[in-house]
Amino acid sequence: MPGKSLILGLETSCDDTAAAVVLNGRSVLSNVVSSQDSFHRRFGGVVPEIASRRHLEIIGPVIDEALGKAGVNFADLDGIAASHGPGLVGSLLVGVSTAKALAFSLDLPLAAVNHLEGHIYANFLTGATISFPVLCLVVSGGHTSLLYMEGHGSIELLGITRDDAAGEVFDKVARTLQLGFPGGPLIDRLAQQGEAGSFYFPRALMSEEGGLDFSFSGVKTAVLNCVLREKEAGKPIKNADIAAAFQDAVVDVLVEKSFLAARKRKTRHFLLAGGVAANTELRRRLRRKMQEEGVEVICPPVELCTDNAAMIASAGYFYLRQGRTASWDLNAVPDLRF
Amino acid sequence: MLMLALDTTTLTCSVALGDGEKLWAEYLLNIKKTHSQRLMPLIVSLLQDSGVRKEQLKGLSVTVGPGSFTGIRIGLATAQGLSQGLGIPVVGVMTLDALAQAAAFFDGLICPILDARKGQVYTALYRGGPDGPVMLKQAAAESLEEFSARLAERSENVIFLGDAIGNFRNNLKSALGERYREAPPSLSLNRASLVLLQGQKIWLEQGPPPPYSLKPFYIRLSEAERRLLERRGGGES
Ligand SMILES: [Zn+2]
Repeated sequence: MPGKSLILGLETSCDDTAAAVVLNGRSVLSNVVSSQDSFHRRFGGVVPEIASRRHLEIIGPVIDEALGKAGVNFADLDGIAASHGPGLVGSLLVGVSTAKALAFSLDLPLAAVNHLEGHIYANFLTGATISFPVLCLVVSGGHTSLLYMEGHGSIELLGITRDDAAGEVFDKVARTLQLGFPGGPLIDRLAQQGEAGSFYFPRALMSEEGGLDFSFSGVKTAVLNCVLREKEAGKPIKNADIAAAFQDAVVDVLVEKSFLAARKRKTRHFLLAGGVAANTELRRRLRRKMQEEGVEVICPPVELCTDNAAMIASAGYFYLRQGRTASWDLNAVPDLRF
Repeated sequence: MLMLALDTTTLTCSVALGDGEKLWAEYLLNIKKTHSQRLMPLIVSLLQDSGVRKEQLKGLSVTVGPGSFTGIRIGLATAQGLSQGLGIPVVGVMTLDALAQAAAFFDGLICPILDARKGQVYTALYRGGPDGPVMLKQAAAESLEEFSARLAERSENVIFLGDAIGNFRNNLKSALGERYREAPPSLSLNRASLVLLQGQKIWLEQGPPPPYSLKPFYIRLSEAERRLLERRGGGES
């Protein structure tokens, strides 16, 4: 694929139906995300069957919109990429089946992208020069992992959460504080008005034997207990202070472990990825801390942190450049790992 | 008019190729393997083995349900993707309409039954005749009691076909007695050649369908929606 290479990316791993066109793995020509939030809100969370139904209804028009916004036709494309896991199997199957049919119809190579790897590639869409090897922190509602990337397609897992994902805990704490859903941005905003020192919540696995693994179930329980205690004491719940103290605890752990990784593996760049990468406090503190080690932190703009298809198209471009094409018997893999 | 037909709504996974006159080829798997892994390879080899280039296809036909929710979506997403990529129309065919074609010339009632779980079947009712089956009752999810009671009211012979026969045979036999008929196993399977036949028929009668007109036919709401409705209903009464 020399010169100009256009990849159409599809993303249907959870409740966002997305399609995007990306040039040479680095420039976003279009990035369409159709959120299903309004369909799931009345159920208090994502309902897999409803998500799958909605994906099927709108994936065709979403693809057309992505092509239209990019000003290209099917005939201009050089490849198709779709996430095939991890995620909800029914949702994934809509994207995977569509991608296979399109690739076959258009005689195009197909890339089956690991959704988590996709998140990392959002960083390649920032215009930043990224030189391998890199360290990477993927933090989202489903995952918290520290990775070392030697090059494209060569990923080593350094640490992973032993229980809840960071984003999951943000959502749960937001529910405890009755803030709404999704919890990440709500806590981020509220914490800015609070005093982090008002409460102290535990930082887990910070000793040597914790290595680079994470644990967030403890902090979640601590917040819940704190709220109950305050209520029993008849005190007004200081939501902003609790949010600030909670966020402080989570960010502390994420930054500290990242720093530890940077000490062990020398890299020039550190990539932040996943929905929680949108957190302003995490971005600020990680940048500051990494500067001490002379490491430059790169993070995608907010709209590329959350689930989108541009990151899948970017990853797909690099997959295909390495000859990592999928075959027609490709399946969705709901528990796919690195 | 050269058409490719797909069916993944039940345990069988099948693809067929043909025109209004002739069935050119058909592949069918009736094994427990995910449709997602089998469908595209079947399509690719069916075209290859028949010496047909995909660009020669004029239309597509696919079963929209009822059947397995996931199966319906694999078929529809694939058909929609092919339709979009090849720029050709796709016809949606009701699973039970297609299955009834297998007993088209039966002199009596035709009753396809598909396993709908929870003690229910997806069923519809047709009368056989010289021009193929004529629908008497539209597709629905029903319990055995409901639909066997209705069938018992009629005086005609009834031929059953479909994947739910195994589970319901004894009850149906005792409900219908002498009037019970059963299609042989080879005619009792969902198959793409029947979807092809039905698809061609619809195309001929109604013309090529417009883009994005393909709609799944689940019959049932999702569990979450059903429970929500139940709760609301309960709150009102
Ligand atoms: Zn994600």
